[in-house]
Amino acid sequence: MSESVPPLATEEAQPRSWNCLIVVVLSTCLAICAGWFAWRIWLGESPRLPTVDLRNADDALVELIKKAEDGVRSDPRSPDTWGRLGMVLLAHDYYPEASACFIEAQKREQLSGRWLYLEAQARSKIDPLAAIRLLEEAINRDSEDATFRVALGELLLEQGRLDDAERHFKQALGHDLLRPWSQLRMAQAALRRGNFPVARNLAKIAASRLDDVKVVHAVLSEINFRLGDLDASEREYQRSLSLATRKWHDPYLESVDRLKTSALPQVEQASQDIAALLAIAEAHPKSVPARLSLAFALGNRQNWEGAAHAARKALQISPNDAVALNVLGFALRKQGRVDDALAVYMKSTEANPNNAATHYELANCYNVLRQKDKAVDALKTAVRLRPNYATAWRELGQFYARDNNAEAVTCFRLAVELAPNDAEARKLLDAALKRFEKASPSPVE
Amino acid sequence: MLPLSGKSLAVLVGAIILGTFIVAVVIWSEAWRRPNESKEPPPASGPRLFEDITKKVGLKFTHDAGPLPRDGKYFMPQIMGSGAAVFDFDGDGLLDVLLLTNGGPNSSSTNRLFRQLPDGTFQDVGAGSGLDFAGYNMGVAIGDVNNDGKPDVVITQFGGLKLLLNQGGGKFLDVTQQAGLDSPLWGTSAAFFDYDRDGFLDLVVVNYLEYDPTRICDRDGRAYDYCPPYVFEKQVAKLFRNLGAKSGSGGSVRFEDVTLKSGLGRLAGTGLGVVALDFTGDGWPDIFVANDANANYLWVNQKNGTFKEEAIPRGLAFNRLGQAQANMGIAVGDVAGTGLFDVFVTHERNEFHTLWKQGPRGYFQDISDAVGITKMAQTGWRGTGFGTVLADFDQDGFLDLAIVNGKVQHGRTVREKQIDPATFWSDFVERNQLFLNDSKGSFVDVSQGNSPFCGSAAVSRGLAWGIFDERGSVDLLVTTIAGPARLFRNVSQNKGHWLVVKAIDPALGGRDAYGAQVVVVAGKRTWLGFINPAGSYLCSNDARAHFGLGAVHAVDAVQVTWPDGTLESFPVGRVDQLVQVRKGTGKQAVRGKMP
Repeated sequence: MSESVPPLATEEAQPRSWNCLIVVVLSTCLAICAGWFAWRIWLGESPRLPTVDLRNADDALVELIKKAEDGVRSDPRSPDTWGRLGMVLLAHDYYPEASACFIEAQKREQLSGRWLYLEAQARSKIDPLAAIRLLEEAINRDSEDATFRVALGELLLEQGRLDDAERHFKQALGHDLLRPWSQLRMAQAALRRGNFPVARNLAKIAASRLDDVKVVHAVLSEINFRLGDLDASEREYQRSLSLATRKWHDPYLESVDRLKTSALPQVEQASQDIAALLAIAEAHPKSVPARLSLAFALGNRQNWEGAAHAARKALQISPNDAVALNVLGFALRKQGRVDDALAVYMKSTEANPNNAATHYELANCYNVLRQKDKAVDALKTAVRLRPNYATAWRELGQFYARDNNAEAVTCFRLAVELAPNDAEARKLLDAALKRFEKASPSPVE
Repeated sequence: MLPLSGKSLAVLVGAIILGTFIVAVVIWSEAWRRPNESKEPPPASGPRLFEDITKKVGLKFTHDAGPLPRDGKYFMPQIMGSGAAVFDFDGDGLLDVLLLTNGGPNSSSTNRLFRQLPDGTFQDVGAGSGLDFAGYNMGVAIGDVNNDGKPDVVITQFGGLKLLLNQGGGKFLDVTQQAGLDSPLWGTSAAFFDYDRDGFLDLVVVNYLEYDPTRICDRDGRAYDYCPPYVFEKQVAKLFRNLGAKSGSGGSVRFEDVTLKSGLGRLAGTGLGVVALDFTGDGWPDIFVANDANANYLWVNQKNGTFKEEAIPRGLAFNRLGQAQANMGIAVGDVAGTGLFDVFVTHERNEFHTLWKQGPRGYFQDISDAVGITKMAQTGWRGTGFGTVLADFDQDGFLDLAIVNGKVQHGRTVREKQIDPATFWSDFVERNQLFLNDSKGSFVDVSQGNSPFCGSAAVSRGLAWGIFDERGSVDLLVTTIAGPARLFRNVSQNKGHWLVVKAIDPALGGRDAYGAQVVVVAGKRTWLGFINPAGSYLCSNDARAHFGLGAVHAVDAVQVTWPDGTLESFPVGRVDQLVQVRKGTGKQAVRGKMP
């Protein structure tokens, strides 16, 4: 016999079910919201700053870090304050501490990839695989940022993941400044695969924009050598030797570099700008390089008094610094104060008897004072300490030539071999060859 | 308002709990996000390969690094350490040990020479040997410069160079000045080799840089520390041609400084390591220099007394990204069994060490990732590597790898004007590493299971290998800064078979035939070795060639390409023995096609 549900019971059950469901949903939403706000408040109220070892650190560095930490304390919800602290720490090689800050910044700015990128930079030296994953995530957040792709491509290339690396470099080709770098890296990937014609084409394209970059010409030298084009290889090789190393423009890391307390990066940026160098020197009163860079810049403008003054300031910080002494001596000699210059160089040789440049400068002083034998001895010492000292060989040759000594030929020949672009040395060699007509023994023996 | 019955209340509570749980999961995943730490497995423990027998054999030596820094003045040569030599100075068939010290010329500590006794212990015979002098002693090269059958010693110094002629009877005579070996530069590693194939060993000395001790370096205001190399001018390597002992004059030795004439003087570098081998396959030895923080150099012998630098076009200058790295120690060997040697160079801890594979002959390519070197980062640890050795430790037929580590900078903020001697060096200590070849050309980190060699951290610098006893297995000698030298005996179990080849030239006083290439042939397989002890960092190794043969029970032949290019084959047959091959007594062989 079947039982039927009384109609009244069914009608009552339906509103109850709906009520329960509403209660569940509302309660869940309420709990989520409450929890979310609680977490946001927690994030804001209790910033856990990384512990940074600042015992006995430079005052400027301590001040900078403290200021950044105060920024976090005053606005702990802000990704920028956390990011700034991270950047300051990264600038001074506090990698794990910087990484922790970037993680906090990322929590507060989840749509952007920049904090992931910087965290990757902080981790790349310690854990490149972690850095790769961070960069991949950064690209997921911001697929248009070519900087992320080039950095990731390089790490992948280093790990031998050529296909993945190339994929990212191709994506970065759309960025004007980074395009030649991407092409260069793709050339290196092709070189690794043994695809030399493709590698050469890509490297040549990169070289058209990066002609002043050492690695481009080094890569072309290698590729041409592999292809048997030895002349082209040699040309590229010689070109690479004459160039300095340069990295691609990374705005994120450049922002980090600008935070360094050291004077050196600022000095490099200031180049020959006297006003800027003066400001840097005054902002870094204990920095010898800052004073010396100012001295060099002033010397380049023939302001010898200014150069001497800057060198003396450097010597107040580090009394025996050989470079500072040499700069001071040079400036004094240029002012006609040769005896004073000589005294400075003698002091320099006491502090460091093996400085080739000091002996070279001594020779210049002796030359002005017409003390030829001492000048020759000083130059011989200079080339003994630095066998490839081209200008010293040239000057030594001149002394021999004046004495009608055929050893001048050997000296000039060495000067030309060591500095092929020295036109004066070449002229002197030609003249000496005509005069003496035969090679002479090495003056070193 | 909804009526709250017991059931509704239960539902409400349940919903709150559920909501809280969801939020907690979200918070946990965010708050504890460490999304990108490597999750690679820890390094394999591997078989135990070495045991420390230093005390047991009586090798008592503590390196003198000189006085500690004061007032921010860090003396750079101090952090570069000193090397060691493993050689048989008295010709009794047992390897002896020379250990250098770096306390400076006014120090009371001197270099020490230890003679191995028949029972395997060592006796300090340094006093009065002529090798026992103080100084900033850096590296050592061993070679018989006057072909009298007795190995002579060159010691490089910060600011000097010394040639000590072996007089026999444990005595060495300083003949530096008479020999014309003048060098006031900062010498590091050195190598003897016969670059002009005239039968007399010439000498290449790499120099580090033009150091200025008045310079005080601080890391962007963070710490006083040892200066990095880029602060100073680079320096050229020096090449000295052996003019041969003058006949009728007591066999005095003379060298000519051919640095500029040879072309080596054209390019300055920051040389720390050097090997002299035939890199191009033309039978003439070339010079490979590891330059710290700069491109390496490969000086290719032009066969006319000059050399041409070709590291860039041949792929040895930079890593695969075209970056110069902190190149320190060098090891060469046929890692993948291709019949061509590969080149391994150690770097600083923030870089990957590099393995350049040779192929085709004379061309090199960075394959560090392919052999697991970049995977070293996956273990979460890298060190600043100096001395390094490629040798078959377990004799399974494939070359393994050892690296000794030690930092070059504090790595923390240190600005105290006065240093605490008790803790100063603790900032620089790192553990050593061992890697086994998996027989497919990859290296597996087995440091974890090798605590004698890898367990205790030190500021290690030199690593030399030698076969110290008749067991025929490769032992290791480690030097440390301001610490003891340590000798590690190979205790690898289940070792394969081995062969050790000593190649000598009777016409040259019976000396080791530096530059000879030795190939062991067994069935379809060949093993490649060399006769030249230079390599690693600041060290001189055993001058013999060691071969791990795995399961091979008999050797078909040992083929030797002598330094003058002649090729001879020697029947050997039995494995597990030391074989001495003498030039002119083998079967003349035809040079086959080079791979």
